[in-house]
Amino acid sequence: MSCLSPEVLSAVVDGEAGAEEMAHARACPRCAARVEELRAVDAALAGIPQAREEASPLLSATLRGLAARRDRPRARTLAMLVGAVAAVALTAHLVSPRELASAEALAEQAIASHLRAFTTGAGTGCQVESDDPLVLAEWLARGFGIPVEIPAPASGRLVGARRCQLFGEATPALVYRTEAAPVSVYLPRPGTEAFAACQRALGSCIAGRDGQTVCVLPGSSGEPMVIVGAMSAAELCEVVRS
Amino acid sequence: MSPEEFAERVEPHLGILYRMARRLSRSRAEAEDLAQEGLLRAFERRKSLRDPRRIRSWLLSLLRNLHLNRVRDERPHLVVLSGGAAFEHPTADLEEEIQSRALSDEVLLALRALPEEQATALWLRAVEGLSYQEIAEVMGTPVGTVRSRLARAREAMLERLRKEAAAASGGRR
Repeated sequence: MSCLSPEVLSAVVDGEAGAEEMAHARACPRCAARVEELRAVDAALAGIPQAREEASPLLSATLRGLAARRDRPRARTLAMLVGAVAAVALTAHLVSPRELASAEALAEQAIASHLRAFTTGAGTGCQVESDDPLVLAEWLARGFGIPVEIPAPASGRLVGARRCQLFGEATPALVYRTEAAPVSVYLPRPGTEAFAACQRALGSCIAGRDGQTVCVLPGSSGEPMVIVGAMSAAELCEVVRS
Repeated sequence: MSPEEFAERVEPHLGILYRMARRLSRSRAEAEDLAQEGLLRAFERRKSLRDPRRIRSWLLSLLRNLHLNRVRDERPHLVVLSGGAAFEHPTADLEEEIQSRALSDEVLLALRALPEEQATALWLRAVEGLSYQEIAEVMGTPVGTVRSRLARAREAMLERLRKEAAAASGGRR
């Protein structure tokens, strides 16, 4: 038998080659030496510190949090909450299946980002804490390179800002507090997928997982904002001025 | 699968999930974020797991796809090495520590120089000890493809590490 191919030699390292090939790899000095070299590669990899890292306490805590969740059917229906929408002078519209999928994806992303923000770091959901809209506007403008208009608080209290990801795109987010719960307000930038999804879902609210509600409302300049919090749609629509 | 059952089944695999996220990410913070999102996605999609015995490859596959979707449009980036906790616990023998860290960095650089699909296959085999079948499930490819990716990955790693070693010994002369 002639010397083994690189693919078979690699399979020998894993004990996945045929009996005849394994026997050859033991008997042929050249192939045996090559197998030893390839084994050394595996050993070097297994020896790096990253190969021994254990899961972070945060990940274990997240899993414990998931275990404690109540097993309830997830609200899948896009709730066109006419009362809440009327309160902010919006007109309810019918939603096509494509728009529904897009709105659900948007809501899903916003909720995931919102929940994650409050389970990491100091748990404030903020990267910068301030109740001064000018300070936050300047911090966001510096990070995004464009002016960011801070939605004025109504029933909520402004507490800070963070950068987050919606559809994999960096998005400015503000954090407000009400007596009931923290609220995240995302301001997708024009031209992004999140912005397009917002435009299709503008004026609607969705009852998402974990008691979270997501509303897509127009900001004071008409550009959409996504508001997330564990409260009713009517309460959520009152957190900031739209 | 109830939330409690899900947590019970996933818990033994948190380490491998985190290490995979760490390998795919640029920083510890990014890895935590990726692993956490992977966990949340897995929880939401737990009904799609038909065979609970395959939960490990299912979790890893979900995490990898999440990562690939995230970086699809990203530009190439610099690799940050030897960051974080490695510096927080210096050993008494500093020279040995530095040498060992340099070797680890070389190995890590060689791994990161590989195409992602080769690096992932090799990581899952050499570090995590997954079978060819499991790696195939994680990567959504036939077993034969795993076999050839592993071979290419090992050959490329060996070649690069040899060159590094030759360059290092040349430099010392």
